[in-house]
Amino acid sequence: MSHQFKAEVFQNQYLPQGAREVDAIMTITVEKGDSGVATGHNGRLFGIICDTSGSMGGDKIHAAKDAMIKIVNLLPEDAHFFIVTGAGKANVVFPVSPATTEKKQEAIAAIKSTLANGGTLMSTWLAQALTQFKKMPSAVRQALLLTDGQNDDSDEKSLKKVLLECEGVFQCDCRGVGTDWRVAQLQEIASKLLGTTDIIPSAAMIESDFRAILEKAMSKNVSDVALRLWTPQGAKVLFCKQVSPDIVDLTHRHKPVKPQMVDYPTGAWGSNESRDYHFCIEVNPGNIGDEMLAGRASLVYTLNGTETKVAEARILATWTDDEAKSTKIDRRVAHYTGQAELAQSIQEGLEARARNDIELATAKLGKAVKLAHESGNEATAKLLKTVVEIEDAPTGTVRLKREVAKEDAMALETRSTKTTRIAKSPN
Amino acid sequence: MQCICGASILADDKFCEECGTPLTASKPPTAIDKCEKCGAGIDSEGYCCQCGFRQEPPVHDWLEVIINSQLAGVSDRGLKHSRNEDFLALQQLNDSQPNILVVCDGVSSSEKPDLAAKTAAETTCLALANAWEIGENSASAIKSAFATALANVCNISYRNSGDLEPPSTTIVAAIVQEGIATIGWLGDSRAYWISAHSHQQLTQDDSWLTEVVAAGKISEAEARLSPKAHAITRWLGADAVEDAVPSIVKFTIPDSGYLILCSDGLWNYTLDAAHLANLVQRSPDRDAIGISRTLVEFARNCGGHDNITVAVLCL
Ligand SMILES: [Zn+2]
Ligand SMILES: [Zn+2]
Repeated sequence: MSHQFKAEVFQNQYLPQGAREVDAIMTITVEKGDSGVATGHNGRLFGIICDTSGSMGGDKIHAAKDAMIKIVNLLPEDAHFFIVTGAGKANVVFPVSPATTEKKQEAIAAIKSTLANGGTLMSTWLAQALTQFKKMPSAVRQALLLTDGQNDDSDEKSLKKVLLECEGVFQCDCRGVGTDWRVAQLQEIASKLLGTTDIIPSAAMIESDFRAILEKAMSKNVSDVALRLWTPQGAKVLFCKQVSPDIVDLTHRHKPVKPQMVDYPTGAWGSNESRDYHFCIEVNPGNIGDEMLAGRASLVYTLNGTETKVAEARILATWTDDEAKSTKIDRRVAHYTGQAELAQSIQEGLEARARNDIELATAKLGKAVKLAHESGNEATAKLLKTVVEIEDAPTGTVRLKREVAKEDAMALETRSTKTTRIAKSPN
Repeated sequence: MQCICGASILADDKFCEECGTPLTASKPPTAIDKCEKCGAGIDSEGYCCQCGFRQEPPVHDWLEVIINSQLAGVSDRGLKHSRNEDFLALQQLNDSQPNILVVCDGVSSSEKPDLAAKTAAETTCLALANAWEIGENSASAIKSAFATALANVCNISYRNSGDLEPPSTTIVAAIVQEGIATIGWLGDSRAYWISAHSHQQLTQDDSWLTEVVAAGKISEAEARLSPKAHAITRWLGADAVEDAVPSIVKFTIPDSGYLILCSDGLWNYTLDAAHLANLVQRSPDRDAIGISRTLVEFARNCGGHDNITVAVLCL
């Protein structure tokens, strides 16, 4: 199968004299096509990592086991899978196997006999998953981690260490069921492993969420894609973020390739996928009339050790004394700058609220309401309504709700990084 | 050291600051290879590989045609114009005979002058070759070739509204065989004969300047100062169909030397045929392309205010 990667840069390349910061949004889309790059992969490996600590007992473990059984049944025949359960230590319930009918039956029997007890040391779960993933290094490698509780504090160091080892070996979406888990903890795992974090408020909802994750995982065709950025000598990348469909800060995730060139990981890509990235590059300013290549961004994927460049776009800077040109902000840059501000206002607002700083929380969440309204981010606006009473969205006039369900605050916290795309035509 | 113009020059001067004569072996400025800000290499898109600055001016519109060591030419955008509206076409039939040279200079005030020049040069070269194949004599071959070129130039579509001038170009064409050069022209692109023993301008410009000077109304020095000095009185274009009757001269090649066709982008910077002869004699390379490059480089060093085109036949 072949896939056509397209990269497009949106920016206002004109800068006033002395300006150093160059902002650009790069949109990358993948389309199935005949003419694109052949991007075959050597199979798909899907790992299920499920919390079986004592707190999972009762409804949760039942729902989780049901959901795992459903997922196993849904796996396409040409995929491979494994199941790791974890508590104080991890247990490979079912090692890497092809998703044949017989193997699925064996796996389901193993799932049924699983019991919940013990503590929570997530580092051991990930270490076992890592061992399984290393068996199929050329496959598209993705995992799902489900937990309901907090990782034991004693595990912090080990977790950081194992995350470093897992980085780049597999991707992992994290789900917290109920409200006893910590958002920041799961977000740390998911972001290192280029996955998403979300809340599953009640056990009954596990199954539909699992299905969605599996479907997305099975749509990925091209793994190990890197965003390669060349910058001029003396330039500094102030940030590099994925900004759509959600915000993922990649700034400190770069790996040097050679002088002036770094790779940012983007994980696996599926057909008909589209993402936006925001670059902010500080360069040595030129004279009026100078044009500079401030960045050359390309997508590089590696299959069987061979690198292939699949798309490329240029980020430019031109210094001008024409203010009409230099003061214009690109619509997309403005939009995503606003979306990042929205996510940050929510985070700061919720933190202030947790500290009982009502004044700051009201101000921050009010600003978030205003930004969500302006940018048409309805999903986030809806989540904000669970936390604040909105008096006037355009001005961001809000009052904090006195009674807020914990799951609503956690949902807002985990989903605050979801962005909207800019509307097609400017108005 | 002294230049041919008498001005003193320094050992490492690249050209004479007085008259612009190149003093070093010339080569086409195909691409700038070093960044002027940091000295690093330049990528294929014109950006510095190290500091990212784009190198100005991006050098393109430098066209070289090399048929063999005897017949070649160069057309260059020059330094001031944003595009090259000159064109040249060269052909040698049957290994040795005849040689065909055409130089065109699109009229800047007209629509699509670059296309007019290209169309006229290519059509004329092809038509001259065809006419020679069927045995037409060289003068009538030039007349019919110009007529075909005119028809093609008239067919170029353009925004036909208001006081826009239709696509127009000057043209000078030579067909050279058995020691005789037959040269036809419209406008102020020229032909010269340059040899060790003699040098002369073979064409008479169809221009306001030439006409008033020939009529004895004013001196050439006075005429050159007039804003009309560069006005041409004949050209190839839809608005001058009646007047598109070329002047034709036959020139018997006296000895070995160079037949040179050029646009005003070159001859504006030469004082006279003797000056041009000096430039040719000082060219470090003696083949047709070497002399063409030397002359184009000379015009660029003098300021390159116009497009520059030179075609050379070594005889
Ligand atoms: Zn001189
Ligand atoms: Zn440079």
